[in-house]
Amino acid sequence: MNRVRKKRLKDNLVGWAFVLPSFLILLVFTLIPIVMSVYYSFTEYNVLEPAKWVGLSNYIRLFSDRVVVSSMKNTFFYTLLTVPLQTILSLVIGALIAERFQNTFGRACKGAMFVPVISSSVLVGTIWTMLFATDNGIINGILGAVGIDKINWLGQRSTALLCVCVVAVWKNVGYFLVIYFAGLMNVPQSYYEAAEVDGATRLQRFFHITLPCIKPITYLVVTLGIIWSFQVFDLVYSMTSGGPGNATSTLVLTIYQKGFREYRMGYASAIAIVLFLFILLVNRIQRMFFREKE
Amino acid sequence: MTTTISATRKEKTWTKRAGTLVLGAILAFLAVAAFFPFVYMLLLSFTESESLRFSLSDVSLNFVNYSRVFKLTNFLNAMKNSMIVAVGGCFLNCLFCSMAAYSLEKKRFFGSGFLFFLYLATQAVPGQVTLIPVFTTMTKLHMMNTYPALILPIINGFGVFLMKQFMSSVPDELLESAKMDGAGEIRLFVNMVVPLIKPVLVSLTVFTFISTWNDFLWPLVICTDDDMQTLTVALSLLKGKFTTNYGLVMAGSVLTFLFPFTLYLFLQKQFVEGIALSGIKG
Amino acid sequence: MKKKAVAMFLALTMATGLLAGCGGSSDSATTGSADQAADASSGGEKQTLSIWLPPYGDEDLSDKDFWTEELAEVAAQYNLELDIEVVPWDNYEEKFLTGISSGTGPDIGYMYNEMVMGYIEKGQLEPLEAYFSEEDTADYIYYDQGQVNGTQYMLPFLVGNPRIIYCNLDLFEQAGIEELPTTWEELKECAKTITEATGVQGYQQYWGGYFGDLDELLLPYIWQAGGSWYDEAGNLTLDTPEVLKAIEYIQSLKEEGVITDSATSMDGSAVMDEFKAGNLAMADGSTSSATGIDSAGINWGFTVLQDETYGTFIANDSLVMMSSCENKEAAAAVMKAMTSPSVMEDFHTKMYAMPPINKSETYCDNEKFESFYEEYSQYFHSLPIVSDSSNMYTQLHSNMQLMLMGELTPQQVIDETIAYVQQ
Repeated sequence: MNRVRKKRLKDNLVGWAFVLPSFLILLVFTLIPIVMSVYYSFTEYNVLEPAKWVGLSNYIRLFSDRVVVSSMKNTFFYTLLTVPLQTILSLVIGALIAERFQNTFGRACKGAMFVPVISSSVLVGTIWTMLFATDNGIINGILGAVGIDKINWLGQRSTALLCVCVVAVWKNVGYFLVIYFAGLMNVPQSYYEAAEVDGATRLQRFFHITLPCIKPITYLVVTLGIIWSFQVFDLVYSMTSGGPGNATSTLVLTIYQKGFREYRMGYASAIAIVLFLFILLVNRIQRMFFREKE
Repeated sequence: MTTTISATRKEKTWTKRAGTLVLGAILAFLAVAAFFPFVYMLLLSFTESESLRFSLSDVSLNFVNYSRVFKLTNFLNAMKNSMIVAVGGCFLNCLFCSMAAYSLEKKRFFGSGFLFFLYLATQAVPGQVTLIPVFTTMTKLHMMNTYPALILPIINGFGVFLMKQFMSSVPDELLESAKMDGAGEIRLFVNMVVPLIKPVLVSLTVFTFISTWNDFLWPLVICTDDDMQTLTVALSLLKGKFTTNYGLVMAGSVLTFLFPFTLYLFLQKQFVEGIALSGIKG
Repeated sequence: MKKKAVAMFLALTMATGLLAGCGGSSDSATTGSADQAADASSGGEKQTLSIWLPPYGDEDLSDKDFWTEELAEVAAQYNLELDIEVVPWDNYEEKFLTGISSGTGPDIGYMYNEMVMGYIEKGQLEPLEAYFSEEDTADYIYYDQGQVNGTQYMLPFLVGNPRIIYCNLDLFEQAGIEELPTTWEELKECAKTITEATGVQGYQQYWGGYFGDLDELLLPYIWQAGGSWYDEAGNLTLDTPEVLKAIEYIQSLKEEGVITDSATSMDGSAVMDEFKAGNLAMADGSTSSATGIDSAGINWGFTVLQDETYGTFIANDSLVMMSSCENKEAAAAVMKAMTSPSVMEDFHTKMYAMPPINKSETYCDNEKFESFYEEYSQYFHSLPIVSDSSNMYTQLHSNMQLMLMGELTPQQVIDETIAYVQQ
């Protein structure tokens, strides 16, 4: 009995010792600032003067704020479209390279697909804005060649956000591809060999061996995808600045606008806290989903 | 009997080959589409274009813009700063995050579940609202214009999350047996765990390096001393308010881009070493 | 085992602490040595004065080098150690906000009208009257424009870049038009005639950018209609016939097909690129675009429209002194030196072409604009200095986009903007 308790104590101590360095840094430079912004969200705070307590009024106001509400909708739409697309694409490409192209060609392709990851969002946004240009953009040029009328991609409500999503997927696939690839490499070869002996088809092997084995990786990719999509900023800022008419404004764009352009950091913090709660909620749902599949 | 089998086999390899060809073509197309911005950036850096649009006839193969970058900015010093920050950040982030991930995944001590939640939750708050509080903390600690001020905020919950997900594939039995052999905690971690998660360490290094290397806002606000400027900040001074020579800006971008890309290519081989890992487990 | 774990724990905490401590000590060490160096060189105690400026640098001369050299004299005179920091345009306001809010901001800063008011309201800017005698300011052309509610908070520093409409003269000639448009109706007619005669688009606006584009796309029309969107006291006067008239005019441009659907997706540089490529006969721009248009080989002229009156936007960026500045006399001397005729002439020739801000200064901007600056200067307007204006402009810009997409009427643009700002 005593030995068990001693072992548990030791486990606890060792456990904490390993966590402590990162935890201390996180505490000072992330957790405390977050607690501070939670406090600011209940205040009127313009950064230059001390914050004034206003209770829940920021929260009450933001749900009737037309701009905030439409950026919430846009953010949800963006996430719902981007996350599944980039997850599936990066998994398929990763699996393809892992199975068929573990050679120089595959490495070159992976390298090339990593280029958008390294490129700055501003550059990527500007180049794609030119490709999407209505009058002499390449995309409308190609469509024109097959007889399709000009589409005002970034200038109308129905397509602007869609275009931003496409660019985001294009930029993120290389990132998640590399993570998936590392995960796929960790699936023991012996499992496949055993399945082949049992006569499983390639598709069966993929669904019954590969997918379950890389489930933690998929959880990682989906979770990060959701967190980052909810916080999309740079790409939208450089492609449309939220326009036309709020059609592409996202929550973080609004937070930036309120906090740094209008000096209303308290209100911006309140929007950020709501965003935070959204992400937690979605993460909850997603975890249930992942557990169920087990 | 034997002939039919070999025939189907032949057919199979033939369809497989055709499939490989088609899939390869698709892959190559995607790769070219992804590589495009870099080519664009490179071509633009050889022009004097005032906008991001240019025609091929504007491209002239001289290195005027590149030599201007060196003349107008303290490029080498900025690169040194970026290197120190990125390398320091990568090292500390990999070390601390793998330690935390190992402990959270394999130790399951009191409070570990909540702690992991905290790590993940920190990722869900946009940096825009924490910028001012973090900045205030830094100035109160008198850390403006120092490398630690640039490096310490790099350590984040993302790394712990990434590591933990991969750590689950490290077999418990392996650790148990090593413990039976009398390995201490530190030795266990350094000699057993670290080699097993090498591919993830490599990918975390690449990701940390890129995000640190490209970060702009934090180094901009936390450093007021020119000698502490990082590359992104130094190069942003090439942009004007009303007119900008994008050729010059792109020359700077190409130079900035090359380091993380080379690092990625260099470390790419390390990703593949995961294969060896599966050998141990099988 | 336990001992080992505890030891490791301690080692790591120490390592973290050390790292942080290290930073602190190295920081103080460097400042210490810098002070000592200063003492040694001058014998007296040198005071540090920090100046934050944006980059205007030429391709062959950096801003920092330019200012260090130009201000060497005044620095020596007041025994100052000048700390000149060039702040990039990207995230310019964030840099000031973080710095000033934590007491690590500059002594002298460069600010534009939209960002000044926030700092004035919070008492961060020093009124300049006490440091600038009448004699000091006699030579300044725009000194009075630095007043906010009767107090001199700003020293106009970079005044110029009026917004104009560039015209491709070759296309005008091809279409048989001899006079450049000067009224709202003429702009429409010219655009239509050119499109019919040459097949090239006559005029295009860019509503796909950000709210700063209002400076040339909407605000000049309001001034030309004889109106304003803020009154003298800073109250929002958006709901006036003049503002409505201007907005309705923009809508009519769209409805009559003078500007196309793609106006809501293009930004300023996209439209200017079309103009430079010869695909567009008229485009809005500022005078600083002239060099680029010249090098694109376009035969160009320019025009400014009038309705009830003339009127266009002009940039007016200023130097300000922070209240936290410890040596205000010296700061004022540096500000005077920075705006002196000789330094400004150098600035306008070596760094950035702009018209003079001193009466005794020679004109160094593009010669095509010299008479324009002389004749039209009374019609130049800069943005009113009002608090929370950024919010208003953002809303106005976004509602204008909605109008061009057919989702709002001009009156709704006004109503929605007012309703949102007053909320």
